[in-house]
Amino acid sequence: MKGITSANSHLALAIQVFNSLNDYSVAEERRRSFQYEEFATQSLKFGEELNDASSFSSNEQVREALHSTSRTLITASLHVVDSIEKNVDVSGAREMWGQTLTRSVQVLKGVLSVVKG
Amino acid sequence: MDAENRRREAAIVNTPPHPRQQQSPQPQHRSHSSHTQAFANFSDAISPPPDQWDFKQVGAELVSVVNSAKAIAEESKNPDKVARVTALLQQFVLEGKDMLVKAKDNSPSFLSSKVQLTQTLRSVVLALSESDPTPSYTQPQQHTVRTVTVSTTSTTSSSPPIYSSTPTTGSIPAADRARVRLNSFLSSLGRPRAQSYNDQGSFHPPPPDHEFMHAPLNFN
Repeated sequence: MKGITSANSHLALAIQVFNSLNDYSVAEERRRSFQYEEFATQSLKFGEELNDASSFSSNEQVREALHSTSRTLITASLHVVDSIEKNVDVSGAREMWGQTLTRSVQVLKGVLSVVKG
Repeated sequence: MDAENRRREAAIVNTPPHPRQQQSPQPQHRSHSSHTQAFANFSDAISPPPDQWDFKQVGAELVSVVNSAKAIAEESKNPDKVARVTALLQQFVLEGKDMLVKAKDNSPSFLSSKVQLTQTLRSVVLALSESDPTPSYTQPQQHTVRTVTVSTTSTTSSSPPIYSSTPTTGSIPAADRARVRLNSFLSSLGRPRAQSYNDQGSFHPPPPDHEFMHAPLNFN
């Protein structure tokens, strides 16, 4: 599914932006320098691609999984933006973001295996 | 008594500290604590397996969370906070309905739906616990957004400061815009379209392997 591959590349870019947090050792520096909009852009493209892809599947579980993954990751992205901007619990955001990504990847792999199979 | 309190704490699904809950109880906070109680009641209501749920009660507790969160946000008299919390609550309601349907249907995706809902609840709590601006705050549109360029390509890590000396309480316009876009997309997502169930192939996500396809996760 082309949409999923494309979604995946946007997710990779969002991860790169997120990882740029590591460039800043001071919390206030992280807060001010984080590329919020670029991060949101890549997350949104990811979500849009998945949502579009979901409408092409006739398999209800696949559609549900894609849709749910899209929502979950956007929700986690909101949490990341909030946490970094408010300078609270960035480690919590990291953890949540990491778990969400892992879950997203599992779902995407599962979807691809169904589609290919 | 203590045990029950502990249970309630645990049930609130690892949310960050309740907004202002740590303050010493003063008369003017009485209504506040009853508001935060709504969060605990909701978490309690959804703690057991769904076949033991009282759906009416869960629905009522969900509504109570929404009303309480709105009331707390409005108490802050911070329009930004009210807007943010309202958007999150819309999402919370959608996800709550979705979770209730899945719980009733005994759907396999119930659990992920519940996780999602609790994540949103955490975001609500987080938004409510944000510090409010100092009294000089007048209108939400006071930011001078001079440096905003739409371009997202070049990113110079050494040229951040719009807020050169502002302490951590000021909001960042770029973050506000990012949040608005993300929230707006979430609201537009709604629920997956219902289609004919003519292809009910089995879909099982593979077990976790912490491998990502392109970019490595680099969390310290």
